[in-house]
Amino acid sequence: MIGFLNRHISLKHRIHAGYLLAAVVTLALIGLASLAFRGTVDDFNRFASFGQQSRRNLLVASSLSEIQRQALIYTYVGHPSAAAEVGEIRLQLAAEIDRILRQEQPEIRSIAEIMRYRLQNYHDAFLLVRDLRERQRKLINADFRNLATEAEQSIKDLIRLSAHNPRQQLESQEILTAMLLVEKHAFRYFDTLDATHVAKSKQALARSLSGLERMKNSASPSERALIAMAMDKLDLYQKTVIEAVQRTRGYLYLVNVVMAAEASEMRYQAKKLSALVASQMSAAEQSILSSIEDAGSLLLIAGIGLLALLITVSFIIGQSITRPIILLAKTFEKLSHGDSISRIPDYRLPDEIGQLSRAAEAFLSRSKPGN
Amino acid sequence: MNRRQFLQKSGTVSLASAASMGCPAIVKAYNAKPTIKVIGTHVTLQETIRQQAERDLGINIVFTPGGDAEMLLKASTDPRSFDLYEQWTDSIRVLWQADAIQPIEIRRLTYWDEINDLTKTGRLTPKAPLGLGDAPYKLLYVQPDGALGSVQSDRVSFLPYVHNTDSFGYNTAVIPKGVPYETESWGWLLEERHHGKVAIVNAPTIGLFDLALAARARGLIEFQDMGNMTREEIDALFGIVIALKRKGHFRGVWTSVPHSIELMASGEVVLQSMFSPGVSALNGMGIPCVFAAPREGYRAWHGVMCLSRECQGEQREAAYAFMNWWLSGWPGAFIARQGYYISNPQRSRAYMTTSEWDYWYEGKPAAEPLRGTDGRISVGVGEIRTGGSYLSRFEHVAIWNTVMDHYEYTLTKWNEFLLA
Repeated sequence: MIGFLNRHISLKHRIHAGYLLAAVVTLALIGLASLAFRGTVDDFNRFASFGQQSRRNLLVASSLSEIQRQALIYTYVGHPSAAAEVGEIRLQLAAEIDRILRQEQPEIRSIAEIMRYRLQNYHDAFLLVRDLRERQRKLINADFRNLATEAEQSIKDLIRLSAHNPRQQLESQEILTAMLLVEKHAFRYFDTLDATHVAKSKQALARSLSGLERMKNSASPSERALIAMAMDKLDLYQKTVIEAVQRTRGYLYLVNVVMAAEASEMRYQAKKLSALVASQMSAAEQSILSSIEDAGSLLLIAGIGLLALLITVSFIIGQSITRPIILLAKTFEKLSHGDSISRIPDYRLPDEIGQLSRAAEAFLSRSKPGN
Repeated sequence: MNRRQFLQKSGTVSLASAASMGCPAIVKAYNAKPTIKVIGTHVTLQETIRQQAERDLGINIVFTPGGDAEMLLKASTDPRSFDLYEQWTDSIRVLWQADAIQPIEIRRLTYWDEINDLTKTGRLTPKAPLGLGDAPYKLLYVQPDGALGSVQSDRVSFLPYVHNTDSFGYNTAVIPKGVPYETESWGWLLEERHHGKVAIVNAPTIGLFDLALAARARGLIEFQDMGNMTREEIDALFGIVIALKRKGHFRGVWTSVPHSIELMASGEVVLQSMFSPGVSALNGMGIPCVFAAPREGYRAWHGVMCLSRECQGEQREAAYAFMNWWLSGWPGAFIARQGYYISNPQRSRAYMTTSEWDYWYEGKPAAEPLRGTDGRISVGVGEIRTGGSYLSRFEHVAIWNTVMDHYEYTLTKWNEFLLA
């Protein structure tokens, strides 16, 4: 190899080839390192994206608890701000779910689709709750009170009209008391949500109506008109109480059963999503570790190989340069000791060593006896 | 069966009796084709039934199916929105208290005498238990004071018709098949080996009893009266199930029959509260789901058909005709094919093949492949209905679906359970 180089490649080219090889080896190492770590960078990007996904899932999970808490506050306490908060959180949740839906993975998208559907159901149910709650509030605060007042007024008019009849007055007072009991038990129901108060309220109302019915038989025409009016008011009053009770039961069912089930299912899906993301994060982590190990091994093996090649080639090039110079130096050393030299070592290339060899050859020719 | 055949088979008697009772409106109804509004659930408000009834009766029928609670709220707050209401006995107390329905006159029910004792006295055989909770017979008759009770009178709060017993379904590919009434138990719902794979129906008047039966079967709780629990008992029961839910024992709740099918078909659930059509559908999909016959007894339900307080004149005549039609044979045979029973089964027998009758009512092996209401084969040759015959199933009733006195309180606890 060394002889080949000395015969065919000039000194300058050999030196340049050495430098070139060193540069190529360096570039190859850089390229290999870059290739080896490209996968790891992708894995890191995925890992970072999973981190964001996890944060979103946490946000969704905490929002789900909060939305149901606000819905319950609105249902049981009636704060309009809580209803507004439900709307706000729902929008945030929808936006988060939409962001999740932009993910490419079908598995994640299908879970997000379920969550979006459940959130829509939840919101539809809440709109119904709000309607029922508002209607119930109006029934209790306006219709209910107005009708109670009007019915009571009719009985009070009856009491005034029957001033001459103490028995009828007493009966009217009893009816009035029964009506107050209707109101008391109805409000107790709305306060405590204990259904036994509904039954008690209905019983008191039935007592009022049967009392009026009894009075009607012995009443004068003017009293009868008042009794009929009172009975009409009581009938409306009864319908209002019943409607308010049914609407209360309706929104209680919606918030505690329908909405809670939707929230529970959304939370389950959010957990499922988190578990999926966690498993993918774990896989990405493994992949990163494995990529780093693989890249390290590859770089080590390639580095050793390339260095060995560089050392070998450098040695060969070095030998190809030093060997003819050493031979020339030995020749001149012999000459300096007066030894007879027949010829200068052969070196045919027209490079610097060739020039030196040829100059030595000329010097040797001139210094031979007879010249 | 067309309208002419219907009139020939049963309507002759019906029309004659209607005429003799001085109800000319029904004759007018047939000519003017009045429209009746029926609200209820998908269980009975099926398009095939509506079309058949329209053909047989010559009237227009509008079905508005919806969720249980939604329909109950609609009916109890707006009696004008319906002429007939079809749901379960657990809605009767609410409707009656809301004065949303009017009493039904027994003398106008053509097949009243054929209705069996399950609704009239509470049991089909002397050895059958009455069952806890709101057994239908306790709410059937309108008492002189306007309350509902079991003492016979000439007016009823509802027309007895569709009914069945429910329990839980389990996937025998995962859980070894048990022995009906011996090893199958509600307690399975709370067994540790099914951790994370259990679902419950999302209805406090139903699912609550599934949980109560399960907890009692496991020896975790005792009730003074499971059909009307005290607040303390409700707290204790929810204490048990909420603790289990926090540990991840329950996959969740299901809100519709398709949802229950999806949960078991996906493998997320191996054991859950179920309704008969869900079990049939899973079997049709090749999933070996068994409708258990628990040794503690079934949770039974009974359909009710109620007349709106506002239903009068022509609509009322048509509504009575529709109620009588439901017990005239064809509808009972139709719903038998989805596993439900009718209150006068003998009249429906004529509309069923011997094999169908033997399988659905007698609990005998199917002699031939049987088709469901969708026309597809739902029962293979040799299959036996779990729980056995009609009599046998109703001899094992533990409790009826019930709205308890503390209904509102159970709602708040249910919320706690769902979000635990």
